[in-house]
Amino acid sequence: MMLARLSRAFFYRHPGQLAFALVGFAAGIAVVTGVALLRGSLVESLDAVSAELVGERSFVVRHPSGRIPAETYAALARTAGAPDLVPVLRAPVRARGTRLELIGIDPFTALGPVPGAESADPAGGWAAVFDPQAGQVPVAVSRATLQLLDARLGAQLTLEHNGGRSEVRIVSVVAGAAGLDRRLVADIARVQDLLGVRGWVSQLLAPAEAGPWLREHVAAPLVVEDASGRRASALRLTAGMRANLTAMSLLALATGLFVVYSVLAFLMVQRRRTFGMLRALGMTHRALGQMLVVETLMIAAVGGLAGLVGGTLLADRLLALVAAPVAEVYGRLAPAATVPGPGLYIAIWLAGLAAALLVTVPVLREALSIPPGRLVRAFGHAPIPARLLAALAIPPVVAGLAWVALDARLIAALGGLFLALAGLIVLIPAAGFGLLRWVGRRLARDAGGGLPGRALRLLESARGRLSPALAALSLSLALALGMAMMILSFREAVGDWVDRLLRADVYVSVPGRTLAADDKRRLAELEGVATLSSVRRARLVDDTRLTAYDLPRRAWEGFELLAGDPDAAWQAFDSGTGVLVSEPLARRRGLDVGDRIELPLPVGERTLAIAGVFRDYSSETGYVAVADHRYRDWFDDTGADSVGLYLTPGAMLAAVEERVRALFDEANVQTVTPADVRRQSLAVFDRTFRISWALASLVGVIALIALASALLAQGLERAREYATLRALGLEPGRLFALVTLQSGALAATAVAMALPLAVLIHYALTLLVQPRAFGWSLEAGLPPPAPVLWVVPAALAAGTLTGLYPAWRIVRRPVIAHLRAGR
Amino acid sequence: MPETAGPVLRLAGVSRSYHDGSRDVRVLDGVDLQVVAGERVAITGASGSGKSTLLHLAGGMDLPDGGRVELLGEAIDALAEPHRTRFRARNIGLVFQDYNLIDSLTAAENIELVGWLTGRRLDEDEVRRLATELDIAELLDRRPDQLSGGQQQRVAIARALIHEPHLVLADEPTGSLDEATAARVMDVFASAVEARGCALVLATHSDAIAARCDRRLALTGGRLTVLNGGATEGAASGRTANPAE
Repeated sequence: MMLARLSRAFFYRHPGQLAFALVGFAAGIAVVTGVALLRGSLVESLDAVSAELVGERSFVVRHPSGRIPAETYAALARTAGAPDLVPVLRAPVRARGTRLELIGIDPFTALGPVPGAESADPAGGWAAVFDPQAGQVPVAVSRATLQLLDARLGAQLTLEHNGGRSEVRIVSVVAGAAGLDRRLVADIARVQDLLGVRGWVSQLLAPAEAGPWLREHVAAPLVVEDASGRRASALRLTAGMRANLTAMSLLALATGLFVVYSVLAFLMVQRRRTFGMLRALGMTHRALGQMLVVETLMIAAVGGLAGLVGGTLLADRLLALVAAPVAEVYGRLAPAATVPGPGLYIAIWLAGLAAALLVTVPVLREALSIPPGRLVRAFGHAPIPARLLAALAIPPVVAGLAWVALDARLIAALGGLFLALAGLIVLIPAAGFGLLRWVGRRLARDAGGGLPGRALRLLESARGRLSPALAALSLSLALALGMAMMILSFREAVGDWVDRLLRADVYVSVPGRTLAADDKRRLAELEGVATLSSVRRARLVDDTRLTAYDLPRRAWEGFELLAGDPDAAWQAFDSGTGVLVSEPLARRRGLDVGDRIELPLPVGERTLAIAGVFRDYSSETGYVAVADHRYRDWFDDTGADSVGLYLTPGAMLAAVEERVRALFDEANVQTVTPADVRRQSLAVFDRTFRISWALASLVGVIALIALASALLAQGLERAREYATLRALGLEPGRLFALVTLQSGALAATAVAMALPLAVLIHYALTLLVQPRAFGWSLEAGLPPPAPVLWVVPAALAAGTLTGLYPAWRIVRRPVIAHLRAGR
Repeated sequence: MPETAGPVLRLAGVSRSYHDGSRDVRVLDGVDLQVVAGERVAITGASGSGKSTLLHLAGGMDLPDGGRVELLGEAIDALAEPHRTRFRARNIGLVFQDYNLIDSLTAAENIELVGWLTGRRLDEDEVRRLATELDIAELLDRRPDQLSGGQQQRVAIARALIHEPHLVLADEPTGSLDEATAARVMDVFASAVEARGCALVLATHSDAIAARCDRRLALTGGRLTVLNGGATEGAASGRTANPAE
């Protein structure tokens, strides 16, 4: 009871410190919660349509081309003992600027129960979707999708599809149903009419009990995928993104813990005198420890709860940031909202309590070392001996390097980087304050001990207090700088790769439709066209992506071979005796030149030699490149997805584009130049890394909270010192300048410490994490200097501004108040 | 040595109240005091009688509710804060009960601090001479936590005297020292003040310390009363012999 009263009295006197501890901890927990919710949603909901419509353990039947001919479906359905197969037609659409998927299903097949459906239609619920009398196409959406579209039940939507537009009406809203997020469900017949699609469906859904029948009756090229397969596919697909998100969230938590440590240490130092007296009066180690632990747990419990609420709000913001890259990079739809679960909340909250207790250990050790009767409040600032520093720093660095060297997995790259940073961060306070001392002495010598020199000299006594904040700020700055360096050099590499890859003068495609052989012939005959190339993409039953290229010799230079002899590779590729594999696929499957790859093709399995590995940043999964004529041998398909036109010398691009449009007589024919593709690619790139920037910024904000908290603590702790200086003749303006100079100097020191760490992080991300996470390698050039030009001034300004409040707080109080407070 | 024509310090009808919860506590109630150059004045009184408040007002660290505080003929309560601070830095030396040395600075740096604050370049020999006088010359490279209480107080005294102020204000300068150390510290303090001819006003509980001053004034009920050594207005001729000496 008395202990609680002691704690309460202290916190009443220092509400600012309590607020910093709560905010810092809550912010760390919020980022962890937000990312955890996002991670879960990405795995659970990436392709959960089948689970939502026919049950959790449903099966999906697919065709490598993405299209199951109507007659194949009919034959299966007529086979004896056939389960209820739900034919589904899926097509990408856009409504109100949002990327969606239109899903057509057959109402007469056995759909699973869709609970919680409400309807604006008197017919009610789910049934309203299949009302044949409805004028506009009736659709059902999930509640989260309704909110995402900012629409209401009964609202009309204009869908953009294949270059056309159609009106649909929301007649049913399904509660929960995260698998239907960003999807519009309608009657398959109406969807066929709307899209102008006949003769095929996208996939067949089957209930859980259909497994044995499907395995017996479904033959190649059709493939049956079960729930675990889909989940494994989603896990594989998003492994890189999820790993990066987790790393960032853990870093945010670590930075938040710096704030908690900083505040706890301050609370301890402020009460050193009290603890000394209490110990003298008979307080046991156990009771003192109990008091500090309870205080920590209270802060962590309340801050943790606030963090869970903040994280839930943050999760949907983060989801909005990843929705575009998930669609553009993975070709999947992200859920419209994250789905929180109590288990996750409890786990994060408890983990937060445990982490907070962990940072209490050093504070507790210091508190328990106070001898009874010790009434001096001065904080010991004896530097940690160099040998102890080395003992603390070297083992994690060596362990990190060893892990990276011995283990080729992504977790080793991230874990090794974390360990190395954990070791190096131990050295930051010693190195930073060493630098400050050196600069202070130089200033004292050169400028006769002016204000800057004195400010730095006086900082020395707050070393113990400011060390955690300096480490936190340095780490977050290093992270922001290192990440920015990696992203910029990667962006430059993507730009160069696009420039090199695209050799044609203009590329022609018609969204929603294949270019037929006749189209290619007519394009080749156009005035001003010298030659053409074409691309056709397919997905095999084992999910391998195949791209068939019909290339002129000069386009071959667009492939940057990372392995293999260019001439030999071209010979093998052009003759069809070998294939090329993109770098992500080679890394993912451990393939190299000379290896053979098995391809499950419609004509049966084929094993082909790998003639080369080429650089590719277009997807994480990677693909196999084959000669067009080889593809035609395997697939009953003469179409192309896009055609590249190589113009004759002197031909005008605009004139050729005009002729292309006239040739197709279609409004939605697209002609794009390599410059357009470059711009679009970089836009996708920028969207992909938006979440990284957002998380890095959050870490930076938490680090600034750590700095502000430490500076405020320093202001309180050094009230007596400031009062002495004021009493001895330091005017308010100069005291303000002194305190502000100190915070600016700390920020500058953090920047100085962050720069070498940033370069380390840049190379670790570029050379280790990116290749292992996404399969993309980058050339190890010098890090781009641009991030230094943005981040450093911002950090210096923010760091200095952070010191303004404590400075103002110190200056606005009269000398006498400080003198009394310092007693 | 500082020279002044009139009194170094003059308090005329100075009052000061503090809010204590819902009531006003009048700590000083029309205090008059004059101190001339070379004079040593002891203010005694019970705890909470207002001794520290009187010194804070005399040093311009606090402002009176009524009355006037003049230092060297200048009404320091009328000066703007930065001017008042600079005026204090140049003309007053302060000694605190808890020494108030800056933890991160060595003894020498603590003493030199005043030079920086007053904008006066201090001669290293001057610091060493004063340190020798106060018997701390061997301790100049040590930080406060490496010094005893008596040694810290002597560093604080050196800091108060190094810039040759006209007035030294000392708040319980020996309050946290044992009797023998307090007597030794007071010896060097008194002789250093005497050597420089500056005025000294000190607040103390100790009769022994107070007895070594020219005048002893008691602060009771917000007012100063003379215990010995003449009127609170001070001896017009300068120092008054102290019977205790």
